[in-house]
Amino acid sequence: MRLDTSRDAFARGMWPEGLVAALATLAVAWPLTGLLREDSWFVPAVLMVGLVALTGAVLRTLDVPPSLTSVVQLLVSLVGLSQVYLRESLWRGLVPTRDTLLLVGELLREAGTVLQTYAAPAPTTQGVAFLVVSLMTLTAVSVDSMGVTGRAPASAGIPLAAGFLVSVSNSGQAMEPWYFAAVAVLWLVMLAQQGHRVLAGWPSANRREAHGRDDVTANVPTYRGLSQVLGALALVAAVVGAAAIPHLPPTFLGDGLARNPDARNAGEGSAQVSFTETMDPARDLRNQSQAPVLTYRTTATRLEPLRVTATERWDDGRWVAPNRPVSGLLPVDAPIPRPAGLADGVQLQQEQVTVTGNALDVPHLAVPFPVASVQLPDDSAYRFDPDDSTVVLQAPADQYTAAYLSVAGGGELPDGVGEAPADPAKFDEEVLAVDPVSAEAVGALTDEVVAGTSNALQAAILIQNHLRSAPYQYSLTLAPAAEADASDPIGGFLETRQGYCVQFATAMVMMARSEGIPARMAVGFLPGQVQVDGTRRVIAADAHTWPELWISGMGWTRFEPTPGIRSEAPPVYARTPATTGDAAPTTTTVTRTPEPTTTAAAPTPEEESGLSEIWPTLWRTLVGVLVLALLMALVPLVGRRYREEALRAAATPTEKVEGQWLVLTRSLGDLGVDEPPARSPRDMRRHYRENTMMNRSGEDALGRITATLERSRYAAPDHVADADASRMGEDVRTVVEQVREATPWNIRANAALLPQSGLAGVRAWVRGVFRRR
Amino acid sequence: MSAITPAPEAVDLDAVQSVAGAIHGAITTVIEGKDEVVSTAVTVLLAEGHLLMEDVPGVGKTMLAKALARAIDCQVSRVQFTPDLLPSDITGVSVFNQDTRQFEFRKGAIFANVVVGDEINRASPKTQSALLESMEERQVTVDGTTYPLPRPFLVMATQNPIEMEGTYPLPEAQRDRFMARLSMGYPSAASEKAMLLSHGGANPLDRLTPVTTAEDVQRQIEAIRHLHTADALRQYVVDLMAASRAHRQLRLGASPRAGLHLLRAARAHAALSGRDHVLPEDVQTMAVPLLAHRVLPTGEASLARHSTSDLVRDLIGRTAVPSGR
Repeated sequence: MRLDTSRDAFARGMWPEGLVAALATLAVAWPLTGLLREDSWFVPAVLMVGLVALTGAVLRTLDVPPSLTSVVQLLVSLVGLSQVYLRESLWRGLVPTRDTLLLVGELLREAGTVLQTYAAPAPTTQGVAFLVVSLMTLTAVSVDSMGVTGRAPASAGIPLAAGFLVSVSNSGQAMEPWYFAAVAVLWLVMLAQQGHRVLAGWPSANRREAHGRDDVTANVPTYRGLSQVLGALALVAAVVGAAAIPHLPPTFLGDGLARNPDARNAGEGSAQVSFTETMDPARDLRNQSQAPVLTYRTTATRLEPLRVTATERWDDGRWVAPNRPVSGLLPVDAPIPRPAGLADGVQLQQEQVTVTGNALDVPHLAVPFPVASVQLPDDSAYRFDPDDSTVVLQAPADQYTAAYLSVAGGGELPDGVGEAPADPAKFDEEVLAVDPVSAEAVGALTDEVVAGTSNALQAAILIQNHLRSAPYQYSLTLAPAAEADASDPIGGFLETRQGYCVQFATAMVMMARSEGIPARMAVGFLPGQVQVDGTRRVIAADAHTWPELWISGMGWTRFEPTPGIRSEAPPVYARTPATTGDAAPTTTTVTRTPEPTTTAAAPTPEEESGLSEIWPTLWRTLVGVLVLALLMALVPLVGRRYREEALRAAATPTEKVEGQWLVLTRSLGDLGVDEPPARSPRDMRRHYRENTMMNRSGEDALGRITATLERSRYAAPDHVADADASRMGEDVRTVVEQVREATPWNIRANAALLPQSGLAGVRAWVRGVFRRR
Repeated sequence: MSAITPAPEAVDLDAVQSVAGAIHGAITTVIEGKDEVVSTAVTVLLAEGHLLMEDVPGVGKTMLAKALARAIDCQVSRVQFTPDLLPSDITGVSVFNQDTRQFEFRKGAIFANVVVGDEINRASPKTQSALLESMEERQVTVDGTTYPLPRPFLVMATQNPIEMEGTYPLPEAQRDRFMARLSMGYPSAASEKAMLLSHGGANPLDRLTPVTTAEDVQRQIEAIRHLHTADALRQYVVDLMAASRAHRQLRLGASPRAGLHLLRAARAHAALSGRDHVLPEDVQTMAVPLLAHRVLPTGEASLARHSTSDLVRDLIGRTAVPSGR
């Protein structure tokens, strides 16, 4: 054993590198802070990432083999995770039981439900936190294994990028640059640390002098040329690729930056919106302007979108702005009536928004729905259109206050809401008109989704949840099929399942109408981003559309079928997953097992059946994985035996030297260095020097190895002693270690898990068996 | 290890090196810029082999032979080979002594430690063979009486390339008796200039004084014979010989005598490098001067202008070095 100084051990532990890797992992998760409502996941995540980094550093300091380090890190993080999230299912707080699996399944299912139901920011339930922390821990393990233990920080970029993409892509909007910069800088630091370490290991001075023309550095110019070409290609790809790949408008040089007409409003900082006229916010959603359309404060904790207007007229594949005859409006500044059709049993609370900046043009006024009262400055006035509950502004109003009603509490509704079908006679024809082009497709899908529910609210929730479910994707770019068939946008959307709020809202409107539920399309704004001063800012890209359905007992009711971040969570009364049939809706929140013993003793039938379904598959998979792992673990063992076979059998010093030499050639063979041809020891030394990367001490060790081999082979037998052989053993370890350090991680991993020597050993063994027969 | 390995005797490597170094140093005062050729010549001397120097006239073949002879304090004779040279001129002749009324043997030129045979290929084959017989057997038999030759016994013959006019090329069998063939080659420009200066006045050969004695050289030759050769190394020599016989571009491979010579030369080379054991590198270094004049290329190889030296190098490149395992 060689004696370590503490400095050596510290260097081997790669503590700074581990720290940077952990920071990079945390930086990857930074964008998640905007996606989740509560930060309860943050502390456990930091703890877990820190635990992984610490474990890695300690194991490296103790010189534990790299593959084992990663495995132990994984185990430690599993223990940590189960301590934080699965503690009550553990037997004696330590050993995972069947309940643990059940609990994991439940947590994940709950997380899935939450992420499917809520737009960002989503509430951080136990399941979501578990999912996020687990993913982060896995990322931390892989980044640490690849980048630090495996000494290949370049490949650590893969898990980092994957994690970052998950965090960023779910936000659905352009992230602030520092999120990216933080990860990029930390990753570059990881690369730089590695580069520094590799360069520091080289005896850079007079290397060429020492080795003459055969030196590997003689080849460096070729690599430099190659790297120059690669660098240039990467630069070209970055510029050309960035311009060629579809993207939001004004970002790149190739687009002419702000001179691009699409991006002009961004350049001018305009807060002009057009969707209030066209009923299609596509253009506004692409608007990158950060200029506020509305600035407001609100008393509400639960935010509602700000509604501008609504339409029920669908004509020739598009929504048409409402026709608003003056005769239909209430008198100027008349009090706004209580919303029609609202049953007494519905618990309501009044909330208020105070708008301090308003860039919307007359006659539009953005207020949450259903509005109860509006207070305008003295020089302005409004009229109310009871037909579509729209406030029509008469003169510009920079500031105003509006009160609105919202369903109180957790959205509990009295019985009977939605039971009574809408009477067609009371409504305009248009409110129930399904586009004839797609009526058949819409009807078929609706029947399938609603499955005979007669309660309008339940049907609406089923439709909404269907549209929010996984196959539907939020995208500002419509799939080609939908673009091609311009005459049938709804049918196209239901087929391609890709679109933005208009497609989702329209689909829900049409599906509701085909069920006989009156429905219309509302346009307005999402609640916007909260600013440091507590106000909320609505920008053009916050434009949004949603369906409003007539539910008996509720009147016109907002639903939210659009998934993704540029949307809202469903309204509180529409969150509970509806059951088909007329059964009362049941709430399925996570039923945490209260007492592990009682659960184990008397599992509920539901749990039992779920378990018995997965148990055989799980069992088979486990056994398969175990067998495979055992077989895989055998190969390295066989490899070790094969490498050392001659050494084990050696009795004389000469045989021991030959055994050590075999250990060297086979170990280096595992690391991808070809065995030298049968030449003299000096030639073989040259072969290894040309084909491996070693620093001076490694080359000296190699020189001693070949010198000993030479003496053992060609000098008189008494020239080699046992001490020479054991000294050679140390040198062999030095050389193999140095070559291993300079080898890419994938080859190293291969050498550790599936070494060539192992395969050769297996082959030799098989051959031996056949020969014996 | 194999039983036929001679019992390891302490070889006084320092003595070997100092003798060789002295001879080498003495020669280089006369021959400039030909270190490798001189080294090979000294190696062959210590391996008790005969040397054939082949090159165009005037590059210093004779000068090297004479310098080597002069460096050793021993009997030196020089024979200028001409077409009318008789075998008895070389071996000696029995002459009737009128006084004693008996035949007396008068030793020929061969009775010396170092025999410099100049332009050997100008003599008739009959005369050549008289020389070559005594080279191999290290004795001369005239009229039924055998006379041993002094030790060390070294023949250094020079010859012009066979294309030159008025020459009788040495037959293959006779070339085989020479341990090595050296080619001087033209000197480098700098050496040539230095030579013009040093050889301008007195002949530097005249200033050359012996640096060692014949006995000393003979002692070192005996010592080198006991140098250790591993089993694997002898196997290597055998492999090389076999490979030369199987080589596609060689019409005639190396003889077993070539193998013997090669091992001897490799021993000397190892000793001169200060090692008490022989390495594959020693064999490889000596292989070209030792084998190139013994093998014959095929017609194709000659047409492709592959020199036999190239073919021997190719041979070395193709033959695996046994590991002894």
